[in-house]
Amino acid sequence: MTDGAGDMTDSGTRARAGRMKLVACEAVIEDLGGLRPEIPREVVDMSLHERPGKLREHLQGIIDASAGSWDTLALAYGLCSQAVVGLYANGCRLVIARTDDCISMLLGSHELRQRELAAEPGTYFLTKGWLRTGAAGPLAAYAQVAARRGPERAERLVRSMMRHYTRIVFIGTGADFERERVTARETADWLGLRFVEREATTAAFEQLLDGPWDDRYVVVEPGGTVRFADFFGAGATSSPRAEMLTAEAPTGGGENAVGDR
Amino acid sequence: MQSEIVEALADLEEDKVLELVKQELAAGTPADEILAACQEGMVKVGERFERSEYFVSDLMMAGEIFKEVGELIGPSLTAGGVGTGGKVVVGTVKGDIHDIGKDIVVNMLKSANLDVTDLGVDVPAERFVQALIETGAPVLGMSGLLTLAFDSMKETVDALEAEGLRDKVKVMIGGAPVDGEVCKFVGADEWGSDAQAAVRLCKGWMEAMV
Repeated sequence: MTDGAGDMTDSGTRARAGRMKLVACEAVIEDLGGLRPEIPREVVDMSLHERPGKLREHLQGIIDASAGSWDTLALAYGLCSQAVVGLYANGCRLVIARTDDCISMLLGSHELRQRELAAEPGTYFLTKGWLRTGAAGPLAAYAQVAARRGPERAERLVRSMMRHYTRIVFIGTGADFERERVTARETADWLGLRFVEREATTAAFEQLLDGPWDDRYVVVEPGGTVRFADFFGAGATSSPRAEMLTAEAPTGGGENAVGDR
Repeated sequence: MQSEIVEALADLEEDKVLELVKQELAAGTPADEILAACQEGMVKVGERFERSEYFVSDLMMAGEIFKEVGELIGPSLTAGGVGTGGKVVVGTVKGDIHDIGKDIVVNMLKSANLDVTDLGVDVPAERFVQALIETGAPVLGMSGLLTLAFDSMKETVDALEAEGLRDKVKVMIGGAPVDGEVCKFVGADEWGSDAQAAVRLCKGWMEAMV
């Protein structure tokens, strides 16, 4: 295998995928930058994330509208508050990362996410993409509350909602994240939290698009439905996490890619 | 006046809610009635959020107001012979530190006269087990906001099993991503989508045990 990020595709998966479209939220699109520009992409409103039921409806609408035009929809999502559970693969194949959400994907694996949280449950992740959309994080909450209820209340609320957090972990992708890094650091300083950086990798997204679709991905053929058990196996002794720890490393590089083969 | 509390909370008018609650307390209104009005206001906040009239930060604001109400009401709860309705152990599971929802549940359970042992956040399975043994509580409530909390909830249920406590303790779970499928995966008895569900479940179980 090659170790360079982005130059290895699994030709079998690509042939199987047929006409493929990438569906991703605004934040992930920011993080992916120019990855696989030849694959058409549909960008989903970030704010839908906060209402998983609405996100599911919206994604189903995209799927329904894609039937016949696309063979495979690569959903750059994880379980995402269960927003993907119940999606019907209407006339096209769905591929979804078998993980919690984009944070695990950007870190490189479930295992690394787990390790970060096991080391410190009070970890608040901020990504370049999330900060660019301006839709999330303590600063966004402050701005929203301050605009309508005044700065004093906003400050009190944000401090209260962040009171159990101990550090901010900033995940930057690509090379153009200085502004967001500064914002993340300022946020940490403001709230008296430690600031930590982690290198991001797009390897999990590359594998979503290029294959191979191993245990780390949920593949639902046309006519099927995404089930909770696809992520947390019914009757399984543990979540996908445990299985994923032993799964093969994703193709491509990135310091955080799991596996050591 | 209680309908005013509902509306004031729905409008997130913090000062007004607190003022109204003080008046109700002074007038001798039972704590559970006041909290029920607050809970009704919370439901309206949730509806407005679903209609995109409110942000997530507004949900947090509502949680904050509810907490303050709980603090105002706290002393009158203790004075009113709290805890006669049975014992419950509650906590946010290991790896998760979110407690706005859990705190609302704790306040609602207390107002329903239950004796609540609140273990806080990031609670490992063995601490839940220990607290259940110490208190003899027949009900455990676990909360989690992150999907990784599902594993911790399952670990806790497994630990109850290992300790031979599983058939002596009813387990309920809650938190934004929790549903029937999660309940099945975790091995809990029931799940709830709001604080009132927690009260309903507890009371139902307690009554069945009498």
